[in-house]
Amino acid sequence: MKVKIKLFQDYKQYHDTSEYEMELPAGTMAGEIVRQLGIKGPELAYLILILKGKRVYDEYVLQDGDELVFLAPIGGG
Amino acid sequence: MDDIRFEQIARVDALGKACGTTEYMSDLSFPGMLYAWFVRSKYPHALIKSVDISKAMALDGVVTVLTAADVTGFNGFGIVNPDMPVICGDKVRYLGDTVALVAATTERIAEQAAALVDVDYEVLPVVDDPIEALKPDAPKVHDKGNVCLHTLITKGDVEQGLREADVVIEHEYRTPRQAHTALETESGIAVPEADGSLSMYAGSQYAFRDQLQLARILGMNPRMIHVYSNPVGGGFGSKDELTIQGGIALLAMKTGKPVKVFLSREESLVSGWKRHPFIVRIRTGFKNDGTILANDVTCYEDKGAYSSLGGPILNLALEHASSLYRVPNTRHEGWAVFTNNGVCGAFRGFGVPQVLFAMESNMDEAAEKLGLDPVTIRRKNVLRQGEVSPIGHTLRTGVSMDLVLDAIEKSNLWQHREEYKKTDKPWLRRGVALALAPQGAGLGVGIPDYGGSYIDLDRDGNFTLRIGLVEYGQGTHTGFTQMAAGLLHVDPSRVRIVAGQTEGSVDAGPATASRSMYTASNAIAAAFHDLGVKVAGVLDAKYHTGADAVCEAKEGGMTTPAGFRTYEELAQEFSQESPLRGEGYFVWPTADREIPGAAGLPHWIYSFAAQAALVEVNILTGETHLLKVATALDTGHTVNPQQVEGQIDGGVAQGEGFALFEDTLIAKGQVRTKDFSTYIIPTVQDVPEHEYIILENPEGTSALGVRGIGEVVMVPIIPAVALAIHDATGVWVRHLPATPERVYRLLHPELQET
Repeated sequence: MKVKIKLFQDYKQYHDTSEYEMELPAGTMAGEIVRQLGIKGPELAYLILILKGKRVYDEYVLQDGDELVFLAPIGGG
Repeated sequence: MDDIRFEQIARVDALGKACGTTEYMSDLSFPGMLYAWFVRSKYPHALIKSVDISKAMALDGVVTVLTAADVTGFNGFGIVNPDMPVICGDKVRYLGDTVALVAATTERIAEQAAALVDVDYEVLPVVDDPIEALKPDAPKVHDKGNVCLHTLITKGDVEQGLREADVVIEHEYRTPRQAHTALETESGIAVPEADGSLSMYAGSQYAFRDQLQLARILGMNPRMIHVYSNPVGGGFGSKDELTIQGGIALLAMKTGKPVKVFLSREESLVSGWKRHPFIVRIRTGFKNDGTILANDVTCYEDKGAYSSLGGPILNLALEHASSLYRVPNTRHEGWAVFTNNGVCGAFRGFGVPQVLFAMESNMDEAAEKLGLDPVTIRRKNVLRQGEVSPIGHTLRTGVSMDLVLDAIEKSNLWQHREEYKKTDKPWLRRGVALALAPQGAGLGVGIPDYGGSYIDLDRDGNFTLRIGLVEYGQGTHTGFTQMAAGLLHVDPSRVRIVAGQTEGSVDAGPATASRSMYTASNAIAAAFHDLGVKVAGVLDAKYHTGADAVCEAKEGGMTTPAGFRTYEELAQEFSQESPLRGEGYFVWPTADREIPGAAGLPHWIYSFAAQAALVEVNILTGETHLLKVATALDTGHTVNPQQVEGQIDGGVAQGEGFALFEDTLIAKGQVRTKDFSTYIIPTVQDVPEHEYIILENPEGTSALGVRGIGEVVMVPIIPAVALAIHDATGVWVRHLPATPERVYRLLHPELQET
């Protein structure tokens, strides 16, 4: 299956491009992508994973065509 | 769905708040609870040579004293850049910095112990002016230097535009370090749980982000931290960033006991977040007919000691530095500069009030010089949908600059201004002026801005609406309830709301940036749609009615393939599976490209308001009273008229404070305004009469047509007050607040300002 990864803010440093597609075996969980990217320390604690506006966590099982967004929370106003 | 008409209802939280039975987080207590005290820096800028806690630890009743070495995770916090230590280890950068934390059995003992913490400092020179701080030889607040952010946005050729102008208005404007003065100061309780997790009870504007910041500080899995942040006793931006949470979390995990803190007003005013003071240098070029040709703006933002949201605030200010006027040539430059002047962060308006005070003042001065009416010069320049903004993006949705301008022109106050200006006392002069404002909503381009909600059909046929967005006084929970009830076709009393907590509600992003009502409208509409799909699915499983069947809400229930069922009947159908949950998620639309070099810009959706002000100036004393205000506001689609008027009332009062009274005075890093006898806020005796003009130009990207209005209602009033003082007296106020001393000196230019 194909999954698109989009990295924002500090998470861009973990890959050559901030948007890319991955070919993954069925059953791959979101946490596996986090580990593959090597995100750790304070940045791991401050990470939000978003899928179509929904917060997902490490154990989410990725589906074909998913677009997984990596970002740190922000705000303002 | 934007054809739903909403009825005026009382706030869902009115009874508890009016009767004093609502429990805020700071009202809670737990068995065996300890009390925290934050040991604050004695100096605005100093190196820490050593910290001796032995005397404090020896005091009876003291359970622990923590220093920087005791921070178990990352010793820093900050929404964008975590450069503010939870406990300073090597350096302090403002008077509110924490150098140690005490937990004791009583608040009194904790305070006494704090005084016994012996810190050896090496005092450093203070930098207290952002322009001075940019000089190469200025004392460095951070090792990397004093520039937090520099942004430059250009369009066209500003110098050519200024050369071609018939009139150039050039001035420097200064704005105050406004304090949020939320009724509930920074406070909370951290509770260690038996399973090793931590529960944090502290009013704040985004529980799900607090959870992550605390995880970083404690070095814990975020899901072992449970944050409860609703209700909040006032925020206005001051509780967007963390305040006391990191400190009490560390103390609770260290002692294994609940730890509470509730800052005094003085400690809040010294240590808490403030609005960034701006110095705005602006040159605006006009043709004789009032057409703007160019605008050259340079902003210096006094960042204070740490980053927090100072970068995004600077950028939003630069997005609005020429308002949404048609300006072909612009140069918007900004510097966010570290100083030892306290800490500044998010505050209602987020940089926009500062720059629009300058721009709207230049508009009126140009109008006067060119012999034009203040409405005419604005009408000539306001942008409409489809046109290109001063920073170069095309305005795509819901632009109503012209609508609010037309409406304010027709207001009673503006139409009858000459009558209102009459006074029979020769020492009193009255003036009327108007201003208008856009306010970018949401987080802008480049950061996914998302929100979710659940609608649960409970076993009794009523509903629970779950959403992360907190209520800190805006009335949003009443609005959310009405929106859900309107979609479900039930009385709002049948919808219960669970919000602002990481357990039991859904991440919907921060309650900031005028984004709550808009985000919720789409997240709730999506959850409602999903509930209909779930109902159809369950009925199909039971009665084989067809999985693709459509269920529509009708009075008190749903029309289903199995016939109309009340919600009570539906709840019985699903009794094995209740509550039946509709889930809705939403991602904000954003521009397709970022303005180069300006993170977060542009915004896609804006709020719009115009305000007119009638002031009375005593020319013997310089004292100014705001007597009457008219507000023309585009709500998109009004959900609760009383709450809209409430937001206008509050916004006008906060804008009035900015314009006339409020400023945190800091000299050489020392705060001079530590209480409400020196930091002056408007009281009920100061707030004016209001004339409300509510426009409904539906926001096309909201399922219910709504748009946020919480910030924009405090923006135009600020220049309107300053310009009304000019109308009354002939003096231009370019440094706010317009205190009696300042106005008196403007009336008497022979006197030097001190």
